[in-house]
Amino acid sequence: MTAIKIENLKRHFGPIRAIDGLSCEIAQGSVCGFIGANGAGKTTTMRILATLDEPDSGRVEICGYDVMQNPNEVRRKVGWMPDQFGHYEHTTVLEYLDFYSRALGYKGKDRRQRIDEVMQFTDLVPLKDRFMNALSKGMNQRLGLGRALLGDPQVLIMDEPAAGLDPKARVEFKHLVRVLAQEGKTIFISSHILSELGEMCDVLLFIDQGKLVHHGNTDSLRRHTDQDAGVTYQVQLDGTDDALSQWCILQPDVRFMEARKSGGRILIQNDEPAKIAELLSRMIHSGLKVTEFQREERNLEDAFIDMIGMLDQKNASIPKAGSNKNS
Amino acid sequence: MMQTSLKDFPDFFQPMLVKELRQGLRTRGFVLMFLAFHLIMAVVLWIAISSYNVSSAGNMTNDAIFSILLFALVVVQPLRAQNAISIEVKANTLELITMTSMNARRIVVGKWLSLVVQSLLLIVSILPYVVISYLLGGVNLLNELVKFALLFLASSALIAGVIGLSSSMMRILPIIILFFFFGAQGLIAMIFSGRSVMPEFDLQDPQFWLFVLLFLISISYLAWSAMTLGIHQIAPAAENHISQHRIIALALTFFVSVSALTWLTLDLEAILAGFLMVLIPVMVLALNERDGPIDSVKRRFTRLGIVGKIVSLLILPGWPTAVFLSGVIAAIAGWTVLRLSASNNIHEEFVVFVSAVVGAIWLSSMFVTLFTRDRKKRFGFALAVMILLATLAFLSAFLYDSNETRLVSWFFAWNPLSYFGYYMNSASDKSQILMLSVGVTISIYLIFAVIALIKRSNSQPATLPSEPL
Repeated sequence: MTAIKIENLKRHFGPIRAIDGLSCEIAQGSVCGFIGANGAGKTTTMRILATLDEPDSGRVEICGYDVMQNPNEVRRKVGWMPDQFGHYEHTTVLEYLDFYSRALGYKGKDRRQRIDEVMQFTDLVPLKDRFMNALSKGMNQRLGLGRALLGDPQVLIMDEPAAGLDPKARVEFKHLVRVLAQEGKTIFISSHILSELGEMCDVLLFIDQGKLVHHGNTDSLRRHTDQDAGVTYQVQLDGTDDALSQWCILQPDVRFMEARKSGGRILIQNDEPAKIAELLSRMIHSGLKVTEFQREERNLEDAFIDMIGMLDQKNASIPKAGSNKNS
Repeated sequence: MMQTSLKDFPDFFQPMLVKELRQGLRTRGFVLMFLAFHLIMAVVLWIAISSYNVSSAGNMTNDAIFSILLFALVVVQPLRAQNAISIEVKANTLELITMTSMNARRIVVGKWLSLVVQSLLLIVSILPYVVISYLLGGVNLLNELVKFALLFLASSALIAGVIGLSSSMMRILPIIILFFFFGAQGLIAMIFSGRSVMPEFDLQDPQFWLFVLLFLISISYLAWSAMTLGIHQIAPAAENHISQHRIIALALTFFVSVSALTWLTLDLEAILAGFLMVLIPVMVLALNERDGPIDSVKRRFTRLGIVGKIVSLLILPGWPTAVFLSGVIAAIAGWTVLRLSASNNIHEEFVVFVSAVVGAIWLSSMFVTLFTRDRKKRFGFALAVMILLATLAFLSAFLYDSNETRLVSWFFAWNPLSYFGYYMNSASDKSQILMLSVGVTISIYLIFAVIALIKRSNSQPATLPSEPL
């Protein structure tokens, strides 16, 4: 079943096209990472999904409800966690959650029970009597997540939830997301920490200048960007440091990339197993004492940078309207 | 399992009210006001008892109670409301609330209720002083309680107005509150003191209760209109809060018209003021409306068939129907005034007055449609233009009087409010030409405003990123 359906979504801010014909579908129960450079249209898209902004055209459905025509139904299905949210003065953590649970319609014992569940899940129990303005960034994010979960939403939309968190808080946060995913919630999450998205997400959406440029899992994103670039291997030798670079000069299908202590990184154009075996054999026969030969997994950051580079090249190659063709 | 023990407010309390009370009762503003109030009262009581004879002490204590309460309810409480909505928008908390099942109306009403409850707490806490002043003698307890009740109602209406307006014009709100305070102080002193123009009111007098009824209807409508403005500013397009306001505005128009033609024996000026009171909020709300409603709102009217389509001409959200409704209200007002003028002599100055006010609104609307694209800033911008026009009108009237030259009047002729000044200040110049020029100027502004609106509605996009919702 589809949890989020976006059809030809457009949102303009004056001359700027924040979202320009975005379309995609996210299945229920999946964790979807939303990637894009600053200003690519991520937050605008997420705000429209959360019924907090109105599109100029196009259609968005959450669990079958149109965000424009049935915003109240959508709000019952969605939990929204913005990158930053303001504090209420003179309000404790428990009072904050109590207010939102009242606003969501919980009463009496149900309300207290729901607050308890959420506080235990997000580990906020020790902080319940602390005023909001005395919380650290990590505690704040947990409180934000707790608030978003109060309504037991089917879809959780999180905009940069890990931004500014220290490593420990980040690990805790990742754990919470994993548990929520196991509970079957659809999670739509944007982050600049791509390695973490790679670990958490089943699906990645890559958006650039308001347009969807990639829709798939982490492997497909890596493949999408490195198909022409080749594969990087790390080689360690027992011998002189520059022997590897000297050997690479003589090989037509190998490029020396970076020297490391007792070896270096090389780029191989053809990644077929037979070719790799043959290359390793050539290396050994030429007298190199290979102690380690390991394929380097491309991380998502590299893939992201490559993708941005590819898109920039593509945009630069398209002649602008009105430009002189002869020049 | 752990059980949280937060049982300070019962379930039937509105969530927003609970949140605002928890915060509001802890704020320095409320605590200081409360303590200062009682400290001053204790000092006044001590001075009164030690320095005056018994009956004067009662009156003095009573006057002090009323003055301090007036300041607290008409200045301090509205000032505390001035950021009610804007602070939530700024802190990025309002949109989190709108994500719950609370609609925009419940959010705004909850904020209003919280301040009203705090005002009520203050009034209840001063009742012992009222009883003491009664025991000291020279005080009519029932009259005092009616006075407090009316003051409380007026303050509640003012707070509602400030909360409603707080979404669009935070910078000039304190000035308006203080302006209102001095105006209200004069008015209340006039009505209630018994020492100036108005005599002490008589609870047995039906005219007094008629005045109270009209006063309550007026302040309720104005406060509710301001709240509707605030609600409309933060509500998503799928929530329709406009139609209800328009229905009430139409009902009030008919009420004023029928009352004036049948049983209400008020001056023509008061009746015109009544129509203006209904019309101006409708025009102000029109400034802030979207170009048209979204499908889900439209469908609620179209599924009623031909009746729904006819009704939608008047109450379907969107500025075109708002303009049409303003025209209908103005036509009913005009027809009523004409009927009344058959038996009363209609005064030219009131025609000039009404034309000048309507012309100024249309002129400011024209500026708004030309220079502001952000729907949520339009009202504040329009009000700023109106204040500028009024200031220039005062200046032109002053120059006209001091120089007695017609050149000044032509120099300021573009400002509809300036005609009002010339007319009132120079009895010899009540000419048909003046009236005609007012009409022509206003018509030109109206045409420009409509052209600008049509242009805007045809252009994309209709909204800006600064809009919070």
